[in-house]
Order: sequence, then structure tokens, then C-alpha cells
Amino acid sequence: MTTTDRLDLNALSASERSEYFNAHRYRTPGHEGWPRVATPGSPEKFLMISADCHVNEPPNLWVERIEERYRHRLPRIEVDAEGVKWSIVEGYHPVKIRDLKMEGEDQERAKVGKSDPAERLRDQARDGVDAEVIFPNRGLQMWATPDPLFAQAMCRVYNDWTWEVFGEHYDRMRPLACISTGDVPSAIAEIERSAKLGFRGLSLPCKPTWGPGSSEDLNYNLPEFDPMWERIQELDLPFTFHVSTGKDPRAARGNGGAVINYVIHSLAPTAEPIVNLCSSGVLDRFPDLRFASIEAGIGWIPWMLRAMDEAYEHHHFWAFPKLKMMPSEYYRQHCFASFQEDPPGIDLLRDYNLGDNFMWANDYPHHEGSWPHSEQAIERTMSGLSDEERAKVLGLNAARFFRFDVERLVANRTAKSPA
Amino acid sequence: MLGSITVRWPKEMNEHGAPLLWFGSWLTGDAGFEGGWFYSGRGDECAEYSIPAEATGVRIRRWPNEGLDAEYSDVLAFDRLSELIPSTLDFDAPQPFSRFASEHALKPTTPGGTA
Repeated sequence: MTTTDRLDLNALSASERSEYFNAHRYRTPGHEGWPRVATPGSPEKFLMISADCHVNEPPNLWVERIEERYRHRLPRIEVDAEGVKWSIVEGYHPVKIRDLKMEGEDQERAKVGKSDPAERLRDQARDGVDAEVIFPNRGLQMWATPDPLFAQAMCRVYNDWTWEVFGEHYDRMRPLACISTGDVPSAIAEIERSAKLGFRGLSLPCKPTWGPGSSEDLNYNLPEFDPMWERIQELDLPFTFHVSTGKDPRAARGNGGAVINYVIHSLAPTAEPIVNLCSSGVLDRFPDLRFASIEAGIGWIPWMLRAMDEAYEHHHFWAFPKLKMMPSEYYRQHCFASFQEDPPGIDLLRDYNLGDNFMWANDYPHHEGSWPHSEQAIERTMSGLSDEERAKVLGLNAARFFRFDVERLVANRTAKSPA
Repeated sequence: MLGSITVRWPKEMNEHGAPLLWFGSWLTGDAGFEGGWFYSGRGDECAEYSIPAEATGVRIRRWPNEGLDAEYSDVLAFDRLSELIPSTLDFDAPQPFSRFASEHALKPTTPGGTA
């Protein structure tokens, strides 16, 4: 769908609008000539690892498990003097609760994504996915507070729970340990505790200090984080930066707010930690770190690489420290990026030598993802890639980054699927 | 404050057609802080709870929509109650320990959508 001027979209019912806006998901040019395919159940299917999925946590998870001193600060719905209900979360603007009715496919996506491993395996098999990396859903709110210790308390609750649920299935369903980084000793303690539990990857917020940002804030380019990088490197843990985890992504209101907030205030700020790490000398001091941006897409990465190198060269009189490599080279050696359906990024993959860095994801069960039509989305966007490039992007890059056991995943295909 | 209170957790349905999830905790002090919790479940049961010495009230949470955070209602001066029926509480009224004004100096906004 490229134009919306042929229909009066406001005149459509919710169900008609759902059908209209989901129609594009079914469109595909097919896969003629592809040696391997993305078709669920096909013996010629690629190994497919979704590098970004989400789990709906039990609604009473945090109120039950958090330390008593923090319970009254948890997110809640409040009623104002006019009787209007608002979602109140530390660090977010109050958000008015709306009666959001979903229909059709949109409703289906709203109902899945639960924590039952068998249900998830079934849902992912339907989309051709062999393994998934799992991020929180409502738990993305855990970082939405200027108090890093409160955030850490929420992260501990999530980490304990998600390990209880998925620990036995870690070969195929891989939640990452969530870490609040605004207080470095507390971050290191939770990284060590999580690694001891069995987690093999971390989810860090895009900014250690929640909020719009200032030069006074702690940030990942500063040497204060060296003890944390040192411990992460020793433990050989990949770490990720998920969208919407550094500041309130609802910075615009009304008149296009949904589009503005998604593009500018949710996705775009995910570049910040990546540039921080590639330009600051951190990767000269800790050459074995590997990290990824998650759900932010990939079309911007060629631009970002060029912009980093341009600043480093053209502003050489301001750009310190002097690095062993160009910032873009650090990116290619250390960094990965997940995306759902991003044709500009795929189109530029070869020109910018990023075939080893991009990781596909279906973002199950989110609406901005491709579930349950990933096959069509892949066919729409990846016909320009070679079979080898597709194999890397669809699974092998994620396997390398997150250390999945590829042979075991392939063997799982022949095992009996859950009913 | 000592003694006990009986709570009749109602059987109600949420927006998804499943039994409503309820949560009960003790308020302590006079600023809306919470101490321990004493109930987390789907209702349709009745129980008597010993009141901790430090309790100054009860906070009842409920989740009509499990995709959203909890609604809540605070019951103060509950020492005059022998029985509490959460379905009779007003979850649509402002509550005494609101964070709405105090912690959010920023102007409220309507939603725009996030990932």
C-alpha cells in the first residue's frame, strides 16, 4: 500500500480498516529461483531466528514480586478530577487511556505472545521461525524512571520470572536479562546474577539515564562504564539496545503523533548507544564486545556509518580520542541490527558491506512486525540478495551473535512439533 | 492497628471474558506507601486477613484489561470495617495518593504509539 487517497478511510468500520491496512501483508512476488525459501514447513526452508520477539508478562508480576519499598511506585491507572483515566508511569507523560478496539488480524496479534512455551513454539512454527530472542512487552516500562535502582528492582523481577518460564527452553526461546545501567555497581551485580542464573545475553537501555538527555548525564561513551564493559566481555555476553528504552517515546501529541513518535522518538534514538560505542574508544579497550540495536530497522545504518566517518575525518580537530579504526569499521566488527521489513536497508546491504551485521526478526506479536506473514515479507524485500546473504540475514548472523547452536536447531525440525 | 478484616473477592469478568484479576495490599504510613500484599487472584472467594500493626489502609488493584496497568482504589479508616467487598469500591474516582499532579509536572499528553 503506497497511497491512501482512493478511499475515505474514516468512513470504514474498524473491521474494514483492519482488512484494508493488513492487505499488504499477503502480497508477494513469490520465490521462484530461490534455492532455499522462507516457507513454513518446507524442507528447503532457511534456518530462521527471529532476533526480536516479545512476551506478555502476567499483569500482576511486578506487584507480587517487587520489594515492598517500591510497590507503590509501580505503573498504575489513575483517575483525574473529570473522571478521565490515565496511565501513570514514572518517566512517561501521563497517557490517556483510550478504548482501542481491534479487529481481524490486529485482534489476533493482540491475543498472542503469551508466556506458554508450547503456544509460542506453535505460533512461531506457523511463521517458519526456528528460534526466537525474547524481550519484555509491558516490561519495556521498567527503564522508564530516573531512579536506576527502582528500574533494577523491576528488572530483577522480570529476570527471575522469565528464567523460570523459559530457562528450560533456552535453546529455542531466549529471553535476555534486562539490566538498568544508571548505577554501574548495581548493573554489574545484576549482570553477574543473571549470568549465574543461565542468561546468555543482555538487554540494556538505549541511555543509562532516563530522559531527553544532557551532557551532564552518564552515557556509554564515558569511562565510568569501563568496569561494566570489562565484566560483560569476561562473561562473553552479547548485549542489545531495544527501541523506546532511553526516553519517553511519546513526545509528540495529536496531529500525526503516532507516526512522529514511532519514527523520531522511538526508533531514531536507538542510534545513540551505537554511535557512543563506535566513536569513543570503548571498543579499543574492550575488543571482544558485541552488541546490537533491536527493532530500530536498518535503513539508517549506512547513513549512520557515513556520518560517523565524516565527523571523525572532517572534524578531526575536535574528534578525540584518536581510534585504531574508523568508526564504521568498529560497527562492522562489533555491531548487529535487527529489522522486520526494511527494503532500504536490504537494498544497501551489499554496497555497504553489512551482510554479516543485519538480523531479521518477526517482532512477534507486535503489529509493526511480520507475524504470521513473514514468508511474504521476506519474499517482498529480499529477492535482490543471494541465497547465502539471505541465510545470514534470516538466521546465521543471529546465531553467531547470540551463540545459538545451529545444529541443534536444525535437529529440532525433525523432532515432533508441539500439538 | 490490629484485628482482622474479611474480604469478599467478587467473581467478575474482565474485558477479555476471563475472571477479573484482583490484588490486595496494605497501605502503611500516611503517604500512600505499600507494605506487604495479602491477595493476588481471580476472585470468587472470601477470606479473613490479620491486619498488620503498621497498616493504615488497604489498596485494592484490579485489571479490567490485562494489556493495561492496574486500576486501584484505596480504603482508609478501614479499622471501622469488618468486611470489605471490592466490587463496591469506586475505581472511577480520583484516589487520595495520586501521583498525577505531584510527579508529572509535564503536561499530560494523549497517546501516539510506541514499539
